[in-house]
Amino acid sequence: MNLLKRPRTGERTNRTALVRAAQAGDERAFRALVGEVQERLWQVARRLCGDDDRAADLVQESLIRAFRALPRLREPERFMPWLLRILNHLATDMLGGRQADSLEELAESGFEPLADASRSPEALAEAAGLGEVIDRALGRLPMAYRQPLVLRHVLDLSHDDMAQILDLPVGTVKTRLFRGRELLREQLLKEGIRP
Amino acid sequence: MTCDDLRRAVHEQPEHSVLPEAAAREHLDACALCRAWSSSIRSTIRALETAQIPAMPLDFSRSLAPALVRARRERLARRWRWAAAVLVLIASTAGGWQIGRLLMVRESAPPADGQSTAQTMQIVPGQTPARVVPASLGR
Repeated sequence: MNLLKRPRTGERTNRTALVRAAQAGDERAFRALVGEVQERLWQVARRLCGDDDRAADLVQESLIRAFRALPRLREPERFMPWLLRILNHLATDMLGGRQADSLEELAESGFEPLADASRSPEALAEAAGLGEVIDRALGRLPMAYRQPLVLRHVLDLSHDDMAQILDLPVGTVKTRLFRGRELLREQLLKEGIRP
Repeated sequence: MTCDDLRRAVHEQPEHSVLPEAAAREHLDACALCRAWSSSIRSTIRALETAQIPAMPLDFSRSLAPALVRARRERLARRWRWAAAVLVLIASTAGGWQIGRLLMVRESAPPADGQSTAQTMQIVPGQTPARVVPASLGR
């Protein structure tokens, strides 16, 4: 299930108008814009950070930077990818150094499996624990693999959009997505889940 | 189709629900390892997509207001600083030009009576000083 869908044409036109107004200095338009996109930003930030406080900081800081840089945005219709790009760059700065940066480091890190192992994802979801398990497993992945996973499976973005947001060639995005899924599967196994 | 080919095909699938090729399906039917792997990858993706994300703790469009005011003030201050810098530059350039003009006059040939050009120039407020043409240029 995809949590979020792309805006329909009418919504996009309305958003573009808001972006143009905000670029002209209308602060209320910018806040309306924030109201429209904040849910999506939150979903991405929360999955990338794994906790509420850091995710809120990340969203807030991204929005402030966006407000400052808004007059320089050349394509108002590409506001959302532009904003996600700011958020992802910031996430790399904020979190990149704190996580395992290489696959070797990831392999060495290891962590204790949960006591009650080998439960199915559905069973864990019933216990409302799947979100936490996913946060922990994602948190173990290097940022380079976490970002494509989140953009793809939380926002349902295309490879092309992801490539633009992450400043990477499409081929690299696909490769990282491929490796990211494998790594996540391994981490879930370590967490005691048999996907 | 090899096991590697199948893995690539599964990852290229947009929704991971139906495999694209008959060859892939055939390989899956024959290879128990790949079957287990494919099912495991699909469950992983499903888990990632369905795992609940906690609700937003605050409305950013409201909490952002003070930060936006601060950012706007900073932007205004920055503009004023630029404007001031440009004005200073213009003023200094104009002043420099005037000084340069005076120096040029000083360095040109002195009048016959031995008085300096500066002394001979009568600057009346509101009136442009008369141009002193060096004697060497004729006229």
